[in-house]
Amino acid sequence: MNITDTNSSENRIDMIEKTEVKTVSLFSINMKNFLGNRLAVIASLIVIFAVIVSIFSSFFAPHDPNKTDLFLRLQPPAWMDGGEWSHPLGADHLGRDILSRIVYGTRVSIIVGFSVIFIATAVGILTGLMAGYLKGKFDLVISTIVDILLGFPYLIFAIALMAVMGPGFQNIILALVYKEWVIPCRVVRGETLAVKEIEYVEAAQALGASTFHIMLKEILPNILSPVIVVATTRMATVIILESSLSFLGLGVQPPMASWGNMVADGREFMLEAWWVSTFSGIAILILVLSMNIASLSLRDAFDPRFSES
Amino acid sequence: MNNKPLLKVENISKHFHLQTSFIDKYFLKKMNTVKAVSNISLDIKQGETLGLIGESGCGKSTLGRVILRLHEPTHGKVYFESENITALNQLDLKSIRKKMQIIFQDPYASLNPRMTIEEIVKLPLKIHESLSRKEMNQRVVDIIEKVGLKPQYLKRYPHQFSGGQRQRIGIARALILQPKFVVCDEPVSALDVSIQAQIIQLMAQLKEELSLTFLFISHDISVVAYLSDRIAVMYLGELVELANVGELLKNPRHPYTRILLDAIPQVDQVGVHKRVVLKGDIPSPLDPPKGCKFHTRCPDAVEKCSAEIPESREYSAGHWVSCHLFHNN
Amino acid sequence: MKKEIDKNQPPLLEINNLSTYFDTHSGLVKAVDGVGIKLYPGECLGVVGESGSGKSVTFLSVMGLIKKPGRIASGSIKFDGRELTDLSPRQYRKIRGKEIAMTLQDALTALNPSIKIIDQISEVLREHDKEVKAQGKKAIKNRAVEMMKLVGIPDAKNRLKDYPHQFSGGMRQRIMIAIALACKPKLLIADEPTTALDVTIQAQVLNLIADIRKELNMSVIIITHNLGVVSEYTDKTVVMYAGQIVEKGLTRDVILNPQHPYSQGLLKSIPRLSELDTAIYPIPGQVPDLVNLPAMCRFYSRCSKRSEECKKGDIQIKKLSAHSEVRCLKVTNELKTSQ
Repeated sequence: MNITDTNSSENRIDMIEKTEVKTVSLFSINMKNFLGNRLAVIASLIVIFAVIVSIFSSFFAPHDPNKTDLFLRLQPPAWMDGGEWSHPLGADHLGRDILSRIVYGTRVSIIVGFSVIFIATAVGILTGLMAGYLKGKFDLVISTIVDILLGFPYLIFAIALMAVMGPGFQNIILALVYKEWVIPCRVVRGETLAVKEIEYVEAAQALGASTFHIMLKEILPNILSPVIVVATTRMATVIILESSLSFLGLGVQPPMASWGNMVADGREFMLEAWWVSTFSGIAILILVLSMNIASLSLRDAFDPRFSES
Repeated sequence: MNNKPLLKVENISKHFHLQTSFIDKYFLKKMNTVKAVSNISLDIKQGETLGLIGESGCGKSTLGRVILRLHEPTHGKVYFESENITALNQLDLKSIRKKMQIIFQDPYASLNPRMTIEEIVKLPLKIHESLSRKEMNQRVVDIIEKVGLKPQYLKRYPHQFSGGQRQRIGIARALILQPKFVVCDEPVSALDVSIQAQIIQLMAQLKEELSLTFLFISHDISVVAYLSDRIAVMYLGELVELANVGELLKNPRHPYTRILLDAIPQVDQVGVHKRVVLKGDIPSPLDPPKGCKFHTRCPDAVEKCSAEIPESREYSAGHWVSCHLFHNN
Repeated sequence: MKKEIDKNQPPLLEINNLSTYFDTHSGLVKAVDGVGIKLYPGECLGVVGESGSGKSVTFLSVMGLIKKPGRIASGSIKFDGRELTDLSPRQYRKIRGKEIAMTLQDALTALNPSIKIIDQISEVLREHDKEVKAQGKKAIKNRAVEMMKLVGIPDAKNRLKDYPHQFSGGMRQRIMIAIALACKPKLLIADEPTTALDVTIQAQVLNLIADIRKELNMSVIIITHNLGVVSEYTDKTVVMYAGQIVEKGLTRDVILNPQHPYSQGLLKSIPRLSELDTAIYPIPGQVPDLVNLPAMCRFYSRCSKRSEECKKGDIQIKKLSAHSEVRCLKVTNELKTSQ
């Protein structure tokens, strides 16, 4: 062994002085990318607006959505002949104000969308982490279930479940969760398999960290980005599915308003009173489109390939 | 005087089984196995630095990890302070982990990008000791300063530091528990030359201050030689030579060691010097040569070399060679 | 066995006051700032430097491979008498690969992973060697085999149809050299040819370059941070730091009697097998941030021989003797007083 330099301690303090550190945050660069995209910002604002509407529905709705009034039956929207501004989008076949029903319908879409995604993602993260990190039997069982569930077409599966469980708000959420969780599960499993080979995970193992710690503190924080992006992208799909199920009569039951069942209600009146179906259809379109744009832009903003180094 | 080695590796082998097709497995009875480490035995004494050198595929990194049971050995035993740690269950192993740590090669991959430096360095304390928050913070500050960083940077994230600084953080993390034995897996290979020198010097100083025992793994032979007391040379998973540094450099016996040492471009040599250049590549570890694994490229190979694996024999005091040309008759 | 350099010939490569800047989010990065190099036919030049020294960017500029946000801000690059900075992309393509070839450090990413080796070598031949192209597919294939054999790839004929990932690191580096040499260039620039390789493979690759250099009387530039490689294989050496050349001279002089504090520091900080009992002295601190560098000596913060004068403005590189130049006030002042 060699005799080390006698001015070593001076050298070391020297080094303490000289090791300066840079201060640019990765997150802020990504957010700048996202906010720079005007379309993404508008889309996000629309989604946020929808959330606000769903929370403060009574504030935004001019009337009680379930109040029927046969004198107002099939009244056209305000700008057409026979329409009034007190009912800006007209009334349906039972005389209920369409605008108010759309406002309350927002609640259904948003709540179903967020709950399904939230629960499915939580379940998906847990199962994905176990399958990816613990491997062995856990992986075998979970992956098999995932593969089987993926084989079923979404809507038919949901319909079958609803037929068994019966219609209703809570059951829709459950039925959709039963299939939705496999999507985040697969993403999490794949990311876990990749991340667990990285040295900082090995370092935690070498330190004797518990499996719990490694899965939740070492691996999970580093795979959240793609999981969040998947979750936000799927929300749009879930909302369409809820609308479809409600349209088929399996979802939210009358008199509760859901955009899906509003479209169904207006089906027989399409030729005489197109507004009964159309506006709720447009609402679905706008919300889903905005969610898609916002989530895809989010993905692009956080993708390291798209940011300049 | 305690003559027992701090660490004793006994006939350790590590085989990795790769994906084998159904037909190969059951009909041709052929498994794709990489014998990363084959039958290695060595001792490491308290306070010494054992250097481990070799080229790609020699298994040196794998050996380091098997010793710490980050990979489970396929055969063989590891004794730490005379206790057989290969037989321990996970719970008992945890308390051993306090005393045996590892410093990694890649300063960019060895720190969790989502944790602050403080959290990273504090983690070992959280796992193994029950200290008050004040005590933990003090320990963290102490070790951070010891490795040459300023405590005011503790709340920052790894990406805000340079490669050399991150390596210092990795060292702080490994040493905060005051382990006895540290495996250093290529700790300076990913750094710039002038930063390498800083880290090498830091490690030499810390070793003295904290009475550490190192297993220093690297492909950079000059660095290993500078820090080590003894050097072990590996080729394709086997130990081919082991000796004190001075003895190995002056008097290498194994043909591979001689060629390896000769191949290093030296700063003092201005102008090319004639050297034996090995032909071809290192054989694939999936299908290693029979007998002595080096015989396919060895300029001195004889018939026996392709048939029999040479045993490790003591050529002179403390100098072990695995080569048929050096059997003491 | 160094070749006699014929100084009466004009230089093959002449870089004069080259500056390549990058316009980044955080500011202007002067990656290469005022670099000047002269290389004669048959010479081997070593370029030593660490991260941020500008060594790779300098030669990517020579190859015309600098893309946004980088740009050649000023200076001239003359190759074989022609001014390269004036060339159009089309004209550059004619020279690149044919007269000047460059190999990169990471062969796996430099070679296209989805194209067979035979196709990658053939592409270069078809592009630059009209004769061989005219002779048809078979002739191209034969030439490719010849190149592979030349660089020592065993069983070359059968391995032509393999993909890059099927070769080991050392082999890939050699394939890159084979592609670089396919058209017998006048200048080979090897960027860190040995960094990712094992020691014994390094020796093979370096010996290969040395042999081919002799055979073709090719000029070679080896960019590396390994002073041992520079010492053994090069005739002249250039040391770069933070975008500038801080010392240049005959390798023998730079290695055995370095003048610039950085060169001296580097040589004192590497462990040497022949002198293991000598302590190493690391250079304290780290390379400065290249964004918005102040006008002063860039090595100031780490220099043990600095003085107030060194902060007063950009330091110019000055000639010390027939072959050496140094960018250091202390050294040039000492020279003045001794004269």
